[in-house]
Amino acid sequence: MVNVHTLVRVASGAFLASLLFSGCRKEGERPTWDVDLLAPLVTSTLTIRDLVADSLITTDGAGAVTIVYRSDLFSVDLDTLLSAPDTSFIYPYALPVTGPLNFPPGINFFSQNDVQRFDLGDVALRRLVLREGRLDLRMKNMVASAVIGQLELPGVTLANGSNVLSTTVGAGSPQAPAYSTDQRDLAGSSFDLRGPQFNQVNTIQTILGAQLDPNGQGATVTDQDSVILEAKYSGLVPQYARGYFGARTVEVGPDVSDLGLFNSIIGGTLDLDEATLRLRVENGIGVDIQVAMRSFQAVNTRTGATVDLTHDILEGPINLNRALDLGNGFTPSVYQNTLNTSNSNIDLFLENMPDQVSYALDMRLNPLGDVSSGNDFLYYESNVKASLELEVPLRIMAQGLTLETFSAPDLPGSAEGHALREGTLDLFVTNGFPFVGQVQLAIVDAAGQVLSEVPVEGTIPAGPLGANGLVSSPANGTLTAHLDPQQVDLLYQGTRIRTRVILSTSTQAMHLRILDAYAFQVQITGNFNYLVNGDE
Amino acid sequence: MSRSLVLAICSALSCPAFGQVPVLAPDPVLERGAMIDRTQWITLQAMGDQNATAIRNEMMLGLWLGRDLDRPLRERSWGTSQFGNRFGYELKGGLSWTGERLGGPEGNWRPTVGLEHTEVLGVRYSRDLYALTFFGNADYAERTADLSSSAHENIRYQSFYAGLVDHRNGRSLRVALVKGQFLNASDIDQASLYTAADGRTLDVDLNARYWQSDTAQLGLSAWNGTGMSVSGSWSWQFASEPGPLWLMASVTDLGVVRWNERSLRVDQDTTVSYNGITVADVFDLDAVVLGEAQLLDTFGIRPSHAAFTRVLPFRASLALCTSPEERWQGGLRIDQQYLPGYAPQLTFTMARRMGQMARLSANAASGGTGGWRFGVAGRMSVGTNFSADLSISQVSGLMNDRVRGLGAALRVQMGF
Repeated sequence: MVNVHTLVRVASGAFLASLLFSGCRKEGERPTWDVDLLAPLVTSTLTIRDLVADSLITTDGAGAVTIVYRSDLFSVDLDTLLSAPDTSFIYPYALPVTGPLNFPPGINFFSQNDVQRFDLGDVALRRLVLREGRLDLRMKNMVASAVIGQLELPGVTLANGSNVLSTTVGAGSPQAPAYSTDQRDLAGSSFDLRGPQFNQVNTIQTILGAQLDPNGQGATVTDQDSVILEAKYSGLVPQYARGYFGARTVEVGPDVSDLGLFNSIIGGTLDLDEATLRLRVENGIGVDIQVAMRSFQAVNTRTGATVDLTHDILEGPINLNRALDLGNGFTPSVYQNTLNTSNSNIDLFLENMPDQVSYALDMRLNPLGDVSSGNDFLYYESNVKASLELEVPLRIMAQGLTLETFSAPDLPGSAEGHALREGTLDLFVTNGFPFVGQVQLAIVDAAGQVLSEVPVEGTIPAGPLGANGLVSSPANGTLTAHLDPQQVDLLYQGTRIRTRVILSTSTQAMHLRILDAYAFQVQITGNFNYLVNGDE
Repeated sequence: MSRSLVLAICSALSCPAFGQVPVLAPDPVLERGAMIDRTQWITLQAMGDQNATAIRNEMMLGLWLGRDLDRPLRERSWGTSQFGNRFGYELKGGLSWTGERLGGPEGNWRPTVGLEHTEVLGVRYSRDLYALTFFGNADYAERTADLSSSAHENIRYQSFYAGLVDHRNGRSLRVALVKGQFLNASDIDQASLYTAADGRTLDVDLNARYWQSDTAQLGLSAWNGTGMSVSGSWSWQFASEPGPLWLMASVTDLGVVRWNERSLRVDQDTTVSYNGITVADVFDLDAVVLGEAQLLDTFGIRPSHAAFTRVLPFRASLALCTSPEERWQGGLRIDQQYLPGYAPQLTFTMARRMGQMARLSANAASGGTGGWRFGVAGRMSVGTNFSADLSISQVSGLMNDRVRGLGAALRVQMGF
């Protein structure tokens, strides 16, 4: 808010006068008197570019304005399509005979080939490259000698190029087993999940071995002594996956996406002559997808009104081709559809002035089955995302279109003492838009509840229209608002000023074009009663 | 006792006398009756005096005491002259020691040292400036307020002086080291403020200078400037009937102060047409805060910090007095002070000695920072070691706060 105190100083010439009389006062106690000050406070010139961000505006050769608004609708990411649960494999060893047998130091007393399968549900992966992941090796030893355990993964290439992991556990006994835990980072590891014969999916081959400490004393082993190796894969995040991702349906929504285009409009009606919505869906996954939109709704949360979009895309499925795998990246497939006033109700959809778009859809993966012969793929960056682009030529009819803003006044003084006592604000407007307008002012509390209405006299006149339906010249008008002492006091109690501007096009018989050159000039002046030295 | 009297006496007691003391030649009778035989003495002086051409005492008191000034009160002090309005005040307090005669028993010159605090305000202002200050500019819609030929100076300083004084003949010479405490001064050659209809435009035309001492330290201990001054007086006697006439000339605090480099000076010659702050979105004024820096920038005011030298508000006077040997005495003085708003002041005194220990006098004065004033004064010696002078510069000001001008001075001397 304008620092009225400072302006007051300008208006009154107090810069000079206060100097002249400053020496006359007793320190600590300041004389007070009221003065009537008349001063310009604020000037502003608004064009359509001040009301709507430059980036949303395009103009044609005649200067007619079109709003182009882009917004993301939704995105279905990797974790929705493929998740690798934490998985543990346990490899136990016990002496197959009663024993006891004496094992010398360094003997390989246990060796085992094994094949394990990850449970990935309908997903049948043949290759997996990890972006993140961890392998915990935990060993339990009841043998009376230190044991070196080894886990070899023939189908795996770790980030360092090896495929062998080992861990050492100290000597134990059946009564007091020894434990060891080792952790390996799997980021960058590549898994061939086709198993030892390269004919399976989700399968990993392991070769386990256990050796008594070559530098130890050896051990006497019975069938009560065992060694257990546990391998736990956790936090697996694919960087790349290939296989068959199954024929399944992923439900998206119902969910909402915010639409900022009409945020400051809280009421009224809007009639658009023309509107276009371009829907764009990108499929970055190597899977054919069929999208069935269950709903697509314009939601105005302020009024509670909703408008369902009607168009062919709501009637039948949208087929999204699979993305193209480039080996080290992908090229998404793109689906686009243009909705306009002739093939949809997009005008009604937008005239609802939605602040949200509500949607719900089903995504059917591989609707025709495994047509890629197990070559579905995805990258970490793969997703299915939808965005919209609204193109609205500003040829409109508006009735009571209400813009609302809140300002917290930054006034000098305090609730206990303030120099500003009462005053009148005059708004001098020169309107080049084809809108008539009213201004409503109110003082509201933090919750927006009205504490006091500030009556505003006068209206904003519309610029008169020429024969071509364009404003021929700006119109001048004056609005006046008076703040009484009680209202001024309210402004010092943590309140805000709510400003509502209610606009209607000057005719409701035709859509009016808004030109880039239209401008609204306003100057606010204040006539205040001000108590000199009244600020505490 | 009226509040005005309390203020006058308090002012006098707290601070020394000059402006409105009786204009009389040194009285040898009174001198013989009291202090003349003392070897040395100490003098304590306090004086407070204010005067105005338009502003009444009620308003000065309101300003001084921090009262609420209602509109009728402010209207009563609204001068009728467009450019001839003045007001000012002077506060002084001092303590001095005067030693024994130099040059033996027949010599008249004595050494003296002392310290003195002085605060002076002088203002010259236009009627429109008063109106803008005390009523605002709303009534000036579609009119120009002429603020030209206005000036002020408000200065506080302390003097540490040493010199020689010849009380018997009204002669003295002293040199002072001046400690500058505070200065605030302006000189507006030309200034006007035009307020357009409905306040849509303010046109400011300003050609002015402004001086301000360092405001980081403002108290009595602040030493924001250093200077020198000289004060002196001399008298001549002319033969006349029934007794000789005395012509006395004096000058007080003739000197300069060099204010330090943290002082501020503005020298402005500018014309500005102000239509309000330009904002991008008139409906979103949250972020619009105009600070003093932006304001000064808007008006193109560029203060600079630098040391500067200013002449002290010295005073020069010339007096003609009747013979002090007579019981009835009279005097006429004209004085002028180097201070904005100070016009030549003419003071006439009539006095009567009461025995050998007391004297009463009445004064009439016109000029200075105000108009006519009528005062009284008295001097009394108590024993041979003590004497006191009390003067009131505007007697009616003690009873009626709607008159202009009020002041009192007290001087106490103790010999030993």
